[in-house]
Amino acid sequence: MSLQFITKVSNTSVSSLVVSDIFSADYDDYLIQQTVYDNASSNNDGTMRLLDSGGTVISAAEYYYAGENTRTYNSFTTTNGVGATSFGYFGYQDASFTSGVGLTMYVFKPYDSSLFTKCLWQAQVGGSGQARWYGGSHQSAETITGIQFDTGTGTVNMDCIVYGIKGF
Amino acid sequence: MVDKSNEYGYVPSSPTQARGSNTGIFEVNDVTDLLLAEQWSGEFNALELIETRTFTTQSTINFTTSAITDYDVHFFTFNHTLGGNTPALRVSSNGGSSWLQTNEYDWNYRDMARQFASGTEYRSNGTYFMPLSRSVSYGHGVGSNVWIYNMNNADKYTHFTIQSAGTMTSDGINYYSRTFFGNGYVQDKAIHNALQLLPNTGTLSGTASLYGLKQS
Repeated sequence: MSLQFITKVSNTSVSSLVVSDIFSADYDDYLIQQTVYDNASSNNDGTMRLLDSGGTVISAAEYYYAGENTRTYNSFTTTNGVGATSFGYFGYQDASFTSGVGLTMYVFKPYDSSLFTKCLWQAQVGGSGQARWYGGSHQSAETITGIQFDTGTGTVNMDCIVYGIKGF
Repeated sequence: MVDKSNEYGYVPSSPTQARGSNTGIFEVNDVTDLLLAEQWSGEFNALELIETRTFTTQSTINFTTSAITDYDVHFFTFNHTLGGNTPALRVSSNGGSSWLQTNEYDWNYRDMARQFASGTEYRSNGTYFMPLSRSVSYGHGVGSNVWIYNMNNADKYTHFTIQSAGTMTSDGINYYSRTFFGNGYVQDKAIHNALQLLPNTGTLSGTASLYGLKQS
C-alpha cells in the first residue's frame, strides 16, 4: 500500500472544519487521519458530512452508519444512524482538554458518481478513554469532493490529514 | 560568434530522487517515464518503512532507531507471531533506556470469537498497551496493525488504534477466527521515541514492522 499526501488542514476554536477538493479521479480510495480535536469549549460528539461536486455540504437524510463506542470507564454501546443528516461519532473531547486524539478513516470511491460513498473509521478520542469504530454509507450515488467535520456543540481545535491510497 | 560551450552541462546518467535529497537532472523522457510509473517526485509514499524485525523466542523486541522521531504518525504491523500470553506495546521517552511501566496505559477493545459466536468487551488500564492478538499455532498466523498517533508530539498523549485478526482453539484440532478492535492511549505528554513489543508471558517468535507517516 502506498499513501500519497494530499493535504493537511487545521484550525482553532471552530465549530466546523471544511476540507474541500480532496477527492479526485487521481485515487479510488483515501485514508484520512485526525490527531488533534482539543480544547473544546464544551463536551461534544463530532460528526462528519460530505461535500458534493460543487463543494456544498450534503445535509440531506442520506447517511447510514453503525458501530460501537468503546470506553475504558464504562460499558460499550452500539449505535446507528438510519437516514441521518450526518455520519455520527467522530471526534470527542472533554471541555478544555488538550490531550490529542487518534482517528483513521478510510473513504472508498467517493469520486465515482455511480456509487454510494463508503467510510470506515476508528478512533481513540478524549473523554477519559473513549473510543469508537464505525462503518457508514452515504446512500446517494454522486460525486463527492470533500468532507466537513462538525462539533455539534461549541468549538474545538482540530486537524485533518488526507492521503490518497495507491496499490490496493 | 558567442561562445556557448560553457552554458551546457552533461546530464548525469543516473539522477536520483528522494525526499529532501534530489541530485542530478532529469530529462523530459525520464520524467514522462517516472510519471507513468507513478514514481515521480511529489508522489512519494508518505508511509515509509522504518524497521522490520524478525525474532525467535525473544522476550522483548525494541524499536529504538532515531528515525522514529522523523514522523508524525506511526504504523505498526505484527504478523504471524507465536508465543506470549497477551502481547502488548510500551513506549519510551528516552530512546529505550527505560520503558513507561506505571499505570499510564488506558485501553479498551472488542474481542469477537467465532467459536463462541459472541463478542466480549474489555477495558482496563495497566503498565502496557494491549491487546495484540497472537497466533495459536504455526499456520494460523495473526495479522495485526496498529496506528500510533502523536508519538512525536510533546504536547499530546500518544494514542493507539488496533485491528487484529487471528485464530483460537480449545482442542488443538478445531480453529476459529478471532478478531480484535482496540483503542487506547498513554497518559503521558512527552515525545515517545522508542517502541517495545513484549509477550507479557514467555517469548515471541515472528515478524514486526514499524512504519512512519508524514503529514506533509
